[in-house]
Amino acid sequence: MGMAAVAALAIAALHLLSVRQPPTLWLPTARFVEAGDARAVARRPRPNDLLLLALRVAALLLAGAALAGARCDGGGPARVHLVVADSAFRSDSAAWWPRAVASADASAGTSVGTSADAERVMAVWATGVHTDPGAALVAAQREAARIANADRAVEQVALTVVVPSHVRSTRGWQTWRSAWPGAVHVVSHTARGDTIADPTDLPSRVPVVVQTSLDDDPVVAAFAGMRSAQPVVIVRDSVMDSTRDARDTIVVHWPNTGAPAAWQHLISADSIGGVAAREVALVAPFIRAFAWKPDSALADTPIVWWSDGETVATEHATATGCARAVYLPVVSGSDVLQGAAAAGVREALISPCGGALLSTAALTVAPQDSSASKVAEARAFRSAGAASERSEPWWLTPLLLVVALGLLIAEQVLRRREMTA
Amino acid sequence: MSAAGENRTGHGALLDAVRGLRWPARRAVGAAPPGTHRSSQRGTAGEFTEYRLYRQGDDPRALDWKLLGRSDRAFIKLSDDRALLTTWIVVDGSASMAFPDDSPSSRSKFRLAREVAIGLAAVVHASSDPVGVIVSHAAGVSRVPPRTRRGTVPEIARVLEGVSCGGADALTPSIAALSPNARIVCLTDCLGDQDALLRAASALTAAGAQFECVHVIAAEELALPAGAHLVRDPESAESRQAGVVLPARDRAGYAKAFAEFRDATRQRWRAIGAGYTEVHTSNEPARAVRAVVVGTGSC
Repeated sequence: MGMAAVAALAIAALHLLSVRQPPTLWLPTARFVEAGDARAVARRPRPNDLLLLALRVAALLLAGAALAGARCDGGGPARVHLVVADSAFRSDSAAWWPRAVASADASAGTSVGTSADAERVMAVWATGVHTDPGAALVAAQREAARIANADRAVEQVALTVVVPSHVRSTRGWQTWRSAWPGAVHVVSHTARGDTIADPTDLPSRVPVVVQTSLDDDPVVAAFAGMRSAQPVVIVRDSVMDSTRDARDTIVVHWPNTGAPAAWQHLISADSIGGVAAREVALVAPFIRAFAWKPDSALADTPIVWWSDGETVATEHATATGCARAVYLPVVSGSDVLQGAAAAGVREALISPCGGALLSTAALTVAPQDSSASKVAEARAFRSAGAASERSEPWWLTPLLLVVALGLLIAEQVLRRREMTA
Repeated sequence: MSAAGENRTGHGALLDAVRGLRWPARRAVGAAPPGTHRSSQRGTAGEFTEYRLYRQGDDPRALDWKLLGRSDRAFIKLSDDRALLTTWIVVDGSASMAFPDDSPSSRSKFRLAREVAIGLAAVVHASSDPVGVIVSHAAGVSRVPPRTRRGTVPEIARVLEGVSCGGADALTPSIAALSPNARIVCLTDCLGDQDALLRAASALTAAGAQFECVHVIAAEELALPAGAHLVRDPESAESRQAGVVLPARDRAGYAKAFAEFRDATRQRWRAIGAGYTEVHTSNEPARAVRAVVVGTGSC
C-alpha cells in the first residue's frame, strides 16, 4: 500500500511537469531543416490534466489496497491482552487470574486512546514456564503474530506472564525478553506444594559437613572449606539413617554407591554428558544406572538435572526443614566436583531450603528502557509474521482490482480522446 | 524622374542612389524601335560601320553612288542599329517572400524585392526603355504594361506597395506568356516550383529573351534564430500541418543544405544563359540594384 501511495505521489509530481512545444517559426527554407528532438520539460505550478491525474491516482491506490489485502473490519477490539501461564497453573487459575486481569486493566488505563471495552483478554497456556519463563514469551510471540495477522483491527498487544516464584533458569527469559516489542507484566504465582521461602540473602556462616567412610571421597574435597547459611550435612552412606533429623539442619543423602530410595535401577546403565544446576552446567562423562521416580507422597522438587532433563537431586520439606537426595556417581579420587563448572551443583546442594532454584522476583522489575514500558504495537508482529495478505471479505481484492482496471481503461479512453482532439 | 515623382513613390533615397546608372543589354537586341541598345539589325543609321557588296534585293538607297561612280562596283554602306529593349520586372509575391516580418531591424524579402524592382524600373526608365511589372501575390497577379511615359515608376511603385504576399508561386504562367524580345528580370526566392520556372526561362532565353534572375535571400535564412523552433513552411500544406523541429544546436546540416541549394540554383540559371544575382535582405536596395545592373553575381 505504501508503494502504491509513493507511486501515486510520483504520478502527481509528473503532472506538475509538461512537455513544452517549441515556438513555431514560419520559415520558407524549412525543407532544409533536419528534424531534431527539441522537446523541453517545464514545471507548472498546478498539475495539468486533473481528470487524468485523478483516474491514475485512484487506480494506483485501489490496486495497492487490493494487493495489500484490504479488509472491511466490523470494529473489533483495538487491543488484545495476552495472559500466558504454565499449563500446570490451569487447575488453580482462580488464584492468579484476578491479579492478571487487574494487571490488564491497569495497562489499559495507562494507554492513550484505548478503553477497557476495546480490549480482549486471552489466556494462553504454555508448557515449560515452570522451567524457564522464556517459554511463556515464545508462546506469546507466536500467539501475538497469529492474532495480529488474523485481525487487522488489532493495534496493540499487551502481555502478562504468570510465572512461578522459583524456576530452574531465567536464561530463556533474558534472551526472549528483548524480542517482545513492548512491556511485559509479570504476575508471580506459587503453586500448591512449592517452597515459598526465599532465604537466598542469608549469610553463609556454617561449614558444610561431609560424613563418609571413604578415604578419598571426591565429595569431601569438593565441599572442603565451603560454608552455608543453614547447617548442611552430606551423608555418603548408602543407607540413610531415618532418625537423623537435627533441627534446622539440611541432610543431603548422597550415597557413594547406589542411589537414594526414590531412584530405581535401570535395566542397563547409560552414559550422560553433563549435569546442570542454578544455570551452571558441569560437562563431564557420567555412568547413570538409576533413574528418579517421583514420589507423590514426598512432593519432591528437582533441584539438579542431568543434561537430558532427568533429575539428579531432589528436595522435599520436612518438619524441621528440608532433606535432599542426590544420585550423582563420582569415581573415587575424581576432581570433577572441584572445578568452577561444578559450582552450580555444589551451591544447589548446600543452599537453604527452597533456595536451590532461582527466584523470579527480579523478572517483575520494569525495565529502564522506555520502549519496553509501552504496550507492544501489533504491526511489529505483522511484519514479523509471514501471514499471507488476504483481504476480508475474500471478494474485496478482486473487486478492487476490477475497479482499478476499469479506471485504467477509462484513463486510456480519455487520453485517446484528448489526443484526437 | 522629377522631384514630384520621387516624392510620390516615397523612394527618393533609392532613386537618388541609382540615378546615372545605365543598364545595357547583355546581347544585341532584335528588331525594335530605335533606342539605346545595340541592335542585331544592320540599318542605315548615320554612324557608318562597313561596306558590303550589293546583292539583289538590297535597298538601292543604301548604295554608295560615289564609290560606284569611281570604281564601277556597287557597294552599300552599313551601320549598326540602336534599339529599344522592353524590360519586364517580375516580382514573386508568394507567401515565402513575406519572411521575415517587417520590423525596424529587419526587412522582408518582398520588401527588398519591391525596392529593387523600383530601382531597376527607374534605371530602365532613365534609358527611355519601356518597363513593366508583373507581380504575383495573395489576390492574384497584377500587371503594369511596359511604358516609357512619365509617371511609370510611381505607378509601378504604387502597384507593388498595394499588394500583400500570399499563396504559392504563380510566376511561371505569367512569364511563359511574355514576348521573347524583351529583358525579363525575375525577383524571387527560388523556393517555388523552380523547375517549371527554369523551363519557361530556358524557352524564352532560347527565343532571344535576356533573362535575369535576382535571388532574394533573407539574412534570417542564412543565420537562423537562436533556440529550438517548430519550423513550418508557409507554402507547404504538409509542413503547415506537422512542421519540422529545428534543434537548438547543430545547425550545420541546415547551413550545408541551404548553401548547396543556392549553388545549384546559381548553376542552373547560368546554365540556361540567364543572369543570376543573389541579394540579401541585410544589404541596401541600391546596392542590390547596382549588383543586378553590373552583373556581379551577388551583393
